[in-house]
Amino acid sequence: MAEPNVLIIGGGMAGLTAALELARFEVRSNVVESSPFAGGQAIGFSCKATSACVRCGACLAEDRLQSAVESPEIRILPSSRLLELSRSNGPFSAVVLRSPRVVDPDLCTGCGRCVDVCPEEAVRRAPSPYNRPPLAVDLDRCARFAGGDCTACVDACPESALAFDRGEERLALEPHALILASGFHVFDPREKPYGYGEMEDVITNLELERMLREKGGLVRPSDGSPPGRIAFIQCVGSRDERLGHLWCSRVCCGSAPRTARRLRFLEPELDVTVFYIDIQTFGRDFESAWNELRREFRFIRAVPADAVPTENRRVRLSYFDPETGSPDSLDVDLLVLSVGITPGRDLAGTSALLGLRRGADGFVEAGDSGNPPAGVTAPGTVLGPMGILDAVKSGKASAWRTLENLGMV
Amino acid sequence: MEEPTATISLEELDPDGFQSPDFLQDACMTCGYCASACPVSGVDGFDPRKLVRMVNLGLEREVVDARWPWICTMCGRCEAECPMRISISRLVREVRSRRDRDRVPGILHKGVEAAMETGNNLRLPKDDFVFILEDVAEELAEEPGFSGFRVPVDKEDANLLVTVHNKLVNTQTEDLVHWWKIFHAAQEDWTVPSENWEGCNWGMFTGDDEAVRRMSDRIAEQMDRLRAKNLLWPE
Amino acid sequence: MKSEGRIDILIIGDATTGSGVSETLIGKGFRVARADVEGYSHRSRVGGAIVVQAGERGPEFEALGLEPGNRVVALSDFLEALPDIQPFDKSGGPAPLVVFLLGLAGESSCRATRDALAASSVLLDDLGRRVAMLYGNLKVSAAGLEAEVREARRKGALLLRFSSARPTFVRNGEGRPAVECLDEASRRRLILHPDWIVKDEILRAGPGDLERAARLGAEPGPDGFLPSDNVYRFGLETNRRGILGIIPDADPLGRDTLEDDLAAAMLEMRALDRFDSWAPDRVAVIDPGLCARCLTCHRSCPHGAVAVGERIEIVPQACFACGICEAACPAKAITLRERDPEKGPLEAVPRPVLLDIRPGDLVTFGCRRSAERARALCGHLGAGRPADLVFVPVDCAGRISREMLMDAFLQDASGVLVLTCHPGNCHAEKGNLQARSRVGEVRRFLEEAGLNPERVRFNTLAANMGVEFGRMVREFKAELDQR
Ligand SMILES: Cc1cc2nc3c(=O)[nH]c(=O)nc-3n(C[C@H](O)[C@H](O)[C@H](O)COP(=O)(O)OP(=O)(O)OC[C@H]3O[C@@H](n4cnc5c(N)ncnc54)[C@H](O)[C@@H]3O)c2cc1C
Ligand code: SF4
Ligand code: SF4
Repeated sequence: MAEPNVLIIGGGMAGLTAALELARFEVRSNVVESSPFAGGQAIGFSCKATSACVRCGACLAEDRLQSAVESPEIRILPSSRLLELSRSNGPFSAVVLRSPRVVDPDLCTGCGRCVDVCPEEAVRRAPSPYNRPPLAVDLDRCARFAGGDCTACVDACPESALAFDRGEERLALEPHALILASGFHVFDPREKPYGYGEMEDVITNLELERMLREKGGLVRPSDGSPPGRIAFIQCVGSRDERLGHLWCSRVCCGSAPRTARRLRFLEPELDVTVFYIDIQTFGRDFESAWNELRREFRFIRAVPADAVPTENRRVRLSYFDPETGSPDSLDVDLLVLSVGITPGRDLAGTSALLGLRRGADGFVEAGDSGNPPAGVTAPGTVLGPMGILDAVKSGKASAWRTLENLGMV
Repeated sequence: MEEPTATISLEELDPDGFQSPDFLQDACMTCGYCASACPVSGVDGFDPRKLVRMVNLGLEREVVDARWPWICTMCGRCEAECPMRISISRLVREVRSRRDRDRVPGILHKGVEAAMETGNNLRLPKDDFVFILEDVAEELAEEPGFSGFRVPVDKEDANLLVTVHNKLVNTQTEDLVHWWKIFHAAQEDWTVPSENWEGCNWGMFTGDDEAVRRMSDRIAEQMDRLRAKNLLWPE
Repeated sequence: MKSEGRIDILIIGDATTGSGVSETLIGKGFRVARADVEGYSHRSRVGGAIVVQAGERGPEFEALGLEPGNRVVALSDFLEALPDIQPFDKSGGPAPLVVFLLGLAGESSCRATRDALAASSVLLDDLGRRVAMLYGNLKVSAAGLEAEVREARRKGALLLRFSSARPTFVRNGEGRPAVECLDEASRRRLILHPDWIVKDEILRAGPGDLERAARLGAEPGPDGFLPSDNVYRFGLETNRRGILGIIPDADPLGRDTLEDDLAAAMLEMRALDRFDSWAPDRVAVIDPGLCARCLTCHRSCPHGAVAVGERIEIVPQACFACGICEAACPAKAITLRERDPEKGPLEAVPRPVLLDIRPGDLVTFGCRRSAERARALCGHLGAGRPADLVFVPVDCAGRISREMLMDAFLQDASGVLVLTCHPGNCHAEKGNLQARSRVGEVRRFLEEAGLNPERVRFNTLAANMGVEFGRMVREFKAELDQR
């Protein structure tokens, strides 16, 4: 087989790791990434270290992304999606549709002048400086794309990196194998009774991650003040048969306490309460960590039933205290909802295109039970909830199976 | 608060007493959402999770005999978000229905009995009922913007037939006017039946399905009698 | 072994039976031999080694005040006994009860949940028993487990949770145990007279696991198992290249993905062994002419790459090119070398040198994995990166020598900031700690020379700490400017 190449759908931790491992074997890959920026969810996360690393794994995102972007064997295709797929004898035939490239990745230096001048706030900065290009124009917001004649960004760019005449592209590829690594979708807590979307100081753990990464600390979105007391509600959208989510999202039990410790490290007076059902093991030192955590923060084994604004603009949670057997309430300055991992929005379509079976829960079925067609593998959170390290390992396993399929190992 | 005294031997309990696909209580993961949501959790030792669990354990006798299951107001907040979709309020009704009728807590039991016999929970005679409505209406008519206001009792072919919660013609007559003001402002074509007007179906609270059915049927009969087009049943 | 030809993988450990690890590897065309750690030497590397660990499962009855025996058993023993349990004849009275205890003393695991659910399904479906599970934190994070719990509940298993209270155990006259507990949800005191009490087992590394890791020079995690939990080991690799750790029977984090672990391990093995002559493109090399045989390198290498024989040599396959030895060698006999992409000969990697420093500059040395990335992110976020900062990236902070730091002062830098990965996050395990002690040495040196020791500072950060990078540099600069 001449020059084997692999098509990877999704440039998150699993997809990029698969690409990097294949590159070690001199196998080239095209990574089709639907968003303008590769790196998946994890590239928006922040470090939770206190005086030492707490093994959250978030820094691996930078590592994976930078290595992949710099690898000569890997081509990342942002703002793209797989349109068609067929297979005759041997390689697949794939058509990838790429949205118009406004920002030229080779010319853009990421200076951000366009961000400042855009009247529609349509220019978005990438989560990481290693994203190529480091900026993208949101075509849904851009006035020019809606038929206007705005040239603010084009005029402001010192590198002439912006152009609106580059149309959609269709790329015809002939991959020898496919890897579906399109990841997960974060649960939208609007339908839960916690006032998300109504009260500014109710945020998700994902928003908290991004805030820490971009601001380096925690503030109340409503007034920019530092909160004195916060609470986390775990399992929002997970362990819930009503929603059809009868699974544990696996990452939140590690994420909330680690983040709480990081916040306490930054602000020693911060008061933290965690509402939970069962704490899942996270970290190899879990047992001792859990004993310490229970002393550091307040853990209440209850699921609050609502969150309402108080007169002095705090968030009031009401819950039933299992220890006292009576109702209680807690006023906090900021509420964090630990939202769960759910199947990717277009996973039904993509998995069907690739011939992968999904289980009753909507995730792709792993291993033999998923009966993957020859030449197709699926790593990472398309299989179900998992953390960064597991997604990385899963990407490695996928690369191994791909190499096996290619007869290379 | 009524608290555990004796130790209960699990082996002697029959957990199958409440088995029914209607309740699904076995699925309860004791997350406690329901107890947090319930507005009367903690009152007299009541909380919905406790009820679910005790039924689950097979503590049928104790739950049926206890007073606290009657604390529940049937608002249904507990089950609106129960992640395991347990029909908590149906379970409460089932528990209540298993009680001998003469041991149903006084006021509820008497109310249902009264309703079955007289058409309303208060045994309020038809004339008294109409008198109260008219009396309150006269007062309202003195307020600015409501001059000439009348209560259209037994009006035929109205758009809306409205039931009345018994407390509105008992201790809280001042609350009658809120609805009326809206009808007046909206120029609604409405009516109140002079008989079987009771909007409070206590059979629901006592788990008495037969009573629930009778009361509902009566309202339907009033609809037919007055040829009302729509029903407004404010609980 | 020699007569079999080349061995690709040595399986080290005593837990290979039943785990299917060697069978899988052989099935995939690897030549496999088993060995214990005796006689294993990285020097004579013939392939990789997979350390298969079983750990020790302990029911730890005493932590709950339970006495084993008389139908009080460990979960794994119960699973063995299960096939011999006779179905209960319903006419013989109420069905006997089997009680499972999960996570009531020590934290349980997904594996224990899954085993208990499997057993309870047989007990309920086929053996006419009742089942109660008493748990602390129910571990349900493994794939599909929550749905299995739901199914067990549907079949009639009773799950009782305990937050702060714990059940107590008493024995009746015949020595049969009874369980007394306060049920949290109903707030009722219950007494259970089970036919069996089955306790989960806590998996801990055994002395064998610890000794094996120590002999291999491989860093175990806080639970005693290989690999360490350094995220750059990806839950598989160790600080010694080619030595991988697999825990087949119960992953501590509740994954049951042995298949994936093995696939990832095989990938690593093939990547390292793809060419018989595999060697990294970057290695440290000792100049025998300069070497004084002091063994500093041997002691400081976190990767076990320095072999002591007739000559002191660095085993290229084991070297991570962190440069810790280069910075540590008192004779300056070691240099990092790299191969050009065409696989030419090894050329010296120049030591980071300071060019064009203007007097008064703030010089920052930073690890490429953490500080350099954080610096890039800082610029990207517009988070206030001082323009006049001289930034010197190094592959690993372990390569920063005292001389490099002093050189900055000799060139009149106003201050020197050393930024490394957080403790526990260094891909070379201790490059950051080395750098910290170098900074300590330089502080003392400055002090002795009558200079302000505060002019050199050590800080740790991660790649995603762009804002913090800006903050650290700005604060340091402001302090320096005040003097
Ligand atoms: C709030 C929160 C906190 C977390 N914290 C931690 C933590 O502290 N530690 C930890 O280990 N894990 C954590 N996780 C889990 C972590 O996010 C995941 O393990 C990881 O992102 C999974 O990587 P992935 O590659 O499987 O999927 P993703 O990160 O979802 O990446 C998938 C990629 O595919 C792209 N894509 C999707 N559909 C398509 C398509 N049709 N075509 C092309 N591309 C597509 C997406 O845009 C995305 O870039 C957290 C998760 C959440 C929600
Ligand atoms: S991002 Fe997480 S894994 Fe990386 S250094 Fe920080 S705490 Fe450690
Ligand atoms: S909300 Fe549902 S699952 Fe949770 S405790 Fe109540 S009944 Fe059980």
